[in-house]
Amino acid sequence: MKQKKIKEKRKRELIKRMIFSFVIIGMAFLLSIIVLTQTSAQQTNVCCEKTIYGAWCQNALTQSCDSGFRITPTSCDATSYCRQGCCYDSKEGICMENTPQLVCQASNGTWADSAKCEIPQCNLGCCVFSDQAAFVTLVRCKKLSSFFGVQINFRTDVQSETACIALAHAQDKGACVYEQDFTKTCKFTTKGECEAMKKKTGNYTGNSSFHKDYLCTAEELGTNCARRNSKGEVKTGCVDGRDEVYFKDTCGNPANIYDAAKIDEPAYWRKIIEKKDSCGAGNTNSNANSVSCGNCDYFGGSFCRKYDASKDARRPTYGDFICRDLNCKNTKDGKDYRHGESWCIYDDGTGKGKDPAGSRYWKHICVAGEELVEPCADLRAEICLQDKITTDKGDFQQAGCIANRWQNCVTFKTKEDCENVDKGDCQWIEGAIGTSILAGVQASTSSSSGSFPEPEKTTSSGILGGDEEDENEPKTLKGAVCVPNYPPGLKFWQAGEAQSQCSLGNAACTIEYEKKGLFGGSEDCVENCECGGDTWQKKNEEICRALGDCTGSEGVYKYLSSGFGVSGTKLFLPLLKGGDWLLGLSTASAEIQNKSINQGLLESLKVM
Amino acid sequence: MINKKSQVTIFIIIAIVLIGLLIIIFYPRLSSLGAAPKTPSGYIEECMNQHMGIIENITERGGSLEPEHSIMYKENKIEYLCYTNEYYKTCTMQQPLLLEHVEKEISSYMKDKAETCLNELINDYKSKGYQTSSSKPEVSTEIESGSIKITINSKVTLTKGASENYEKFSIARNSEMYDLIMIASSILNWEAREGDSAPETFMMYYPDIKIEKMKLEDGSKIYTLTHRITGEKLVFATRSLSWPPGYGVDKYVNK
Repeated sequence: MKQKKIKEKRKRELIKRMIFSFVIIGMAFLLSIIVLTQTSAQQTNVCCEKTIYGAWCQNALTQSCDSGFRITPTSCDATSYCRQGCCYDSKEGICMENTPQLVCQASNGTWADSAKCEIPQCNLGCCVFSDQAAFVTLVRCKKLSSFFGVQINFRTDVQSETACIALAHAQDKGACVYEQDFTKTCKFTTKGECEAMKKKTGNYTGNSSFHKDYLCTAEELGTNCARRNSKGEVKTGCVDGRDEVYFKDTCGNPANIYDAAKIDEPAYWRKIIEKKDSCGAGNTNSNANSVSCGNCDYFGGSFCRKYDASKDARRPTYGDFICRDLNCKNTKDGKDYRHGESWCIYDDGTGKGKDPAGSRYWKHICVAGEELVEPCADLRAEICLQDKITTDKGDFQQAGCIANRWQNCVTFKTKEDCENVDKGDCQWIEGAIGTSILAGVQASTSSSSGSFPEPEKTTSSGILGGDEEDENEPKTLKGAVCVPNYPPGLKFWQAGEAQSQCSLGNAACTIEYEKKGLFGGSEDCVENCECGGDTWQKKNEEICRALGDCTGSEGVYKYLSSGFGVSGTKLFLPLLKGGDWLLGLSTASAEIQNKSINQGLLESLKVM
Repeated sequence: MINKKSQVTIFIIIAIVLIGLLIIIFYPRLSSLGAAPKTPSGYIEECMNQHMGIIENITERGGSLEPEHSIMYKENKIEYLCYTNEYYKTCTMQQPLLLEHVEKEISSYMKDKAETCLNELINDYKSKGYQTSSSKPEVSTEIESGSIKITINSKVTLTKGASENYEKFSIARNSEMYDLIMIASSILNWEAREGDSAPETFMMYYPDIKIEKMKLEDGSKIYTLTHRITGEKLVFATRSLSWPPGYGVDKYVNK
């Protein structure tokens, strides 16, 4: 009886334990499911209405989203609130592309479902105001016209910016004569603006009359606008939207282009003289720094500016304005460039794998006499490309930063594909032996590709050795490789991608020797003998250098003022920590020459 | 005789000292008597002009006094106006109506300053024996071609015998910021559509504007627009169509 009770008690305890175990296992199972779910949710790409760092409408991982805003497990383009469209500013008449709906509406804009703003409000036309023009929207035209205080003149029939600007220049201009405070005065303007003046009220009295092509200083008009002021001085000045220096009459109107030789010539102050018929027209230097001629040409390299002793070479004979020289002299590369030209500057060698680690491409621009520097994307993700066009004033250089398309180079198997600039920025290197990325294989021996260089095998033949070559033994590949022309910059100080990219350059070469004589006399190289010399090492260094910042070059440490605290090739020590192979390669090469390999040394070098 | 002379001398010296003391005590009031009294508008204008420097702080940080989403550049937080955290993608506009945004930022900062200036004006007139009343100021900013205009709407009444009523105070200064903001909007559209912009194109069209573009390691770009005549600057950041280092295993720049 007692035993029965004990048994029952044990049974109950066992059941309890089993239930307890089940509960524990169940809880652990549930917990793991929850953790797994959360982990996978954190890894999911979602659309964050707002990120934790404050950006609106970004596709990101869940953990980057601000939990106080909407998070949708889809692309932002598929959501109603973050869908990109056109944000129209009805006050200024401008259209902003790629704007999410909520961002636009929060800014009081009008949103339309067209990311590229192909909506009627954003249609462009030619807005002509005074003697200037702009290719803008209708509302923008109203705004610009209000700034100039002129009536709106919006032309939808003009479909290009060039035609629009030409239209502005083609307007009739001349002297608009009217009476003000019982004095006959004049304004040099367009016919349209002169007619609009008739409608204005205020101090204007009497009718205004327009005299096409006449200047306000024309004697027959009899206005109070004179050439010289009471002190006998002649004024000059710049005119909005024009490049040249103009004479100015005593009413402040522009006359003809400043020409010191014609200052007292009545005919020069009577009617408009075209730019092409004015002084110094077509001069190669566009009359830059000329003391007597104000026929500047902005695109030619000169522009009307107030004389400044620190910037201008000489003071103009009359007035305070001069054609300022906008060209750049003695730039960083020691050359002179014309206004508007751009050119490339490299930190060091470029192309053919010469770009050193840390180097970058730079685009330099010459604008208004100033040399501006624009870096291309870092880590050589962009390269700088330049070309020139021939003009009547000589060559004109232009440069641009473009994407470095190196990613597919190692996949090209033929020289044609490799050197096809439409497919990528690659170079074809022939004569490679043992590299794991061999493309055009010439010699049909096998390879130990992708692995670290192995010790060479010594085969023996002759009296004692005989031919012991194993058929399954890996052999050395010979051929050509397709590698980047502009080595990509790699974050070699971080483990991961740089290592895998650089390991493509791993190479192995098996050298075969033949023993002569019965008791180990001299050995003759019989296979892959070229691997024993410097050439093999240099070729593989060349390939490795082209693959990226995998060492093999000196880098641009000489340009670095601080930060690295190293000198010479020590800059590349971090590479070795990443298991990079150059030091291994050179050591291996040395060992091959010594015909013995110390694998332990190589391993120790790999983990430095 | 000698004593009399010395007494006169002492009296003269005392008189000179007294006159000197009186001048020292009353000089500020005497000097103010000579100057033309400031009008309330002049007073507010002078007071508000002391705070106009904030406009530079706003425009040199991308249009916001406290940028929410920014990048550090030359020890300044620069706001992203168009941004994507992805590689190979063009940016999403973050501040589409830039002009209005800058106007709001200026107004929001100036509101407190306007209140302080009005209070100072009221206190000044009270001390002159005026009866005064004023309402809470509303501030609006208009950035226009060639100028920035700040308007303070507040009903101010000053009574001393007759009543003087003021409803609006305006402060204007010459500025080419409007042109800079409009060009920035155009650059942002290029960034959103093409992924990049060509500053030299803008500079060739607008001779008075200098545009500098700096590309940073993560693909961000800092644009600095400078007006060559006035020296005003507008600095902002973008991140659009950037390329990853290496093969681009990472999809996002900010995880």
